[in-house]
Amino acid sequence: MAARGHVQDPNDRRLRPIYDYLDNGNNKMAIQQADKLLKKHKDLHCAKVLKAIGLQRTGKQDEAFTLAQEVAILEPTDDNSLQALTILYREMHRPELVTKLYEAAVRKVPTSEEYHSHLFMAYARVGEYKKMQQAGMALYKIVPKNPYYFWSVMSLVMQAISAQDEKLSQTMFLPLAERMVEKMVKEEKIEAEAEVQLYFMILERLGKYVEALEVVQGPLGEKLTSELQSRENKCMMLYRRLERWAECNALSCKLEIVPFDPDDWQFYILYFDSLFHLIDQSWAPPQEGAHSAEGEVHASTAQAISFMKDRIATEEAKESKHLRGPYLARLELIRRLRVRSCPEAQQLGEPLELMFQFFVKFGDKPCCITDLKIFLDLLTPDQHVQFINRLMEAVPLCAPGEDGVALPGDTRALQRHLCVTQLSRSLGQQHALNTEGKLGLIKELKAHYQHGLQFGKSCLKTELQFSDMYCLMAAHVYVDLWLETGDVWGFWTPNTSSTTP
Amino acid sequence: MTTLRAFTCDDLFKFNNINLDPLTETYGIPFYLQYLAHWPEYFIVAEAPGGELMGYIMGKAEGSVAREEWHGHVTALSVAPEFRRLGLAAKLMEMLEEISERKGGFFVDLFVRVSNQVAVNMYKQLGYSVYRTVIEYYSANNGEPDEDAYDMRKALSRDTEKKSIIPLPHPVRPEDIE
Repeated sequence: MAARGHVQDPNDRRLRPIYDYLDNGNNKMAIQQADKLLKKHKDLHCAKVLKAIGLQRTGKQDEAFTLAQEVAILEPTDDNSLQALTILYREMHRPELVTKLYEAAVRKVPTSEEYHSHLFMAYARVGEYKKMQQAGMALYKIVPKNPYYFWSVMSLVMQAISAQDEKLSQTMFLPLAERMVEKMVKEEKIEAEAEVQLYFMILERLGKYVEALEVVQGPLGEKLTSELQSRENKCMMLYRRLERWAECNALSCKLEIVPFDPDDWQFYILYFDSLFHLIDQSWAPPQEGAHSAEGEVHASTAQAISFMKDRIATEEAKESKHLRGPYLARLELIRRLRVRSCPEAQQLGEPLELMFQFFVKFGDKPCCITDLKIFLDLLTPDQHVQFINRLMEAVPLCAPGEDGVALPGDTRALQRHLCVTQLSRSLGQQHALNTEGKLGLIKELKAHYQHGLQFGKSCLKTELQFSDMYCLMAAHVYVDLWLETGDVWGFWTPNTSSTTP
Repeated sequence: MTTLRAFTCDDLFKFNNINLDPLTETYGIPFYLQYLAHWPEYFIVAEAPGGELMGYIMGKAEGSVAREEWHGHVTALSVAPEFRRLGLAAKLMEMLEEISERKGGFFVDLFVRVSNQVAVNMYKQLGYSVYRTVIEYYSANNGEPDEDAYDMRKALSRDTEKKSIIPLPHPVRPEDIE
């Protein structure tokens, strides 16, 4: 509820119980108390408004509104009434009435910082950006605090964003906003990180990427501390817009090496993108001096291959857990080189072998499936069978039982088997089976599912079972069969003893 | 291989694979938007090479500096099942802790269901300890009893004497939380 902080005048004390009743949802008592109070002090406006709130909350909208208007018409300037009316209008979803309220208050008390603030907020709720801009500046004139100035700037940006005419944004609103910020920069009055963010936003919208880069890399950019890697991310974005591939490349290199994160996919992509742009432009490093503002640049396939090999070597040398990043990046580079018909792609290795190695390292993790799926197109169709067979050989399974199905001995083996089965499906091998083959597959999947439940005996009912995916896959194969033959083939017979959540 | 970037409004349309999990709360849109507006630096999402969302973290900073209660808070953290066991939750927590350090927080805290053993153990491994129990913090939606929460904390470098993590001897109720 409204601010009941300091009890300044006797009215506050009298009103407090009514506030309490409203807070506790006791609207009837609130109305009653308000009435009592009004009998003694019939001009206690706030009591009327509180009564109106009680009425509104008990569904008597019209009565509430009429009562509220009795007070509003008098253009009150006491805090309690204003705040109570604000609450009422918001609950009635009539935010525009709040603006009228504070416009009147501000007319009567033009020096009130508080009323102007509330007026600004009221305009914000209804999206009246131009009035927000004016209210912001009026506030700044009363009390020259930075936030008020920048509220005005932000309102200009909002006008730019919402303008129907794009030209108006570019030629009027944004340049004006820019000049307003520049004034503060010149007078060295920039204080908060948010002000720098706003400046950056304006320059970006104006397409002034060079200026934006200067801001980020200059002393103002030092305020950009909240978000991790904020300056690097902004610089990267600007290099791309400016098509400064040399800087883009050098920065990506830097960001894939410790202390940054060698597992960050987006910078590998940018590294490759920028590298090939540079090759296409026949970029060559300058005779003297640094390659670029960000450091060393790679602009040849040989350098890219060497960079990838280094990343892999660093990863292999680690004793701790390996990251998937460099291995997947290597496959991505192969793909890109192939697309450009570069024979050097072979220097990185044979995709089938590399993907097999990846499976050996990471096959017991569920993400292996989605990771490798992206690169399946690097295999030729006649390699598919060989690939799946090799993967399956690397899955430790126990000797087959009497039904001929070889089952995994622990959850890691199970996850590996699941991975191979799903990749096999991605390659279309399951679809290629005939009806009999599919039915056999379903039987096998069900057996795996039932068998796998033993590993999940201690799982809580909010967790997935390790073998749940087998069940899902069997369902998919049933659907395949139905699409082909129109027959449901026993899909509806329940799996016994399954308590899949 | 993970891209770690700022969560955007559009990501709300893509996070079903993360949120459709019994222990992940899905809030109303205004709740997410409020966090995006107030604390965007704390709202980070991990994206896989194929474009799927892997997991995200949502947090905020609050509390009185004078009372040495200014701290980072983990509002939500969830990783999709197909991307678990990659250390992603730990990575996201590490980022939130780093941001909280930069803001001068004394500690980081979070609420977790007492029955969520997997999560409680994970946080313990990351250096968190139970500060207090909050009775009936989580309201059940269908006549089942409300569930208690552990308030778990990890001290940051500003709390040199690690005062913020000394456990309370008795549980509290949700109304008693600041």
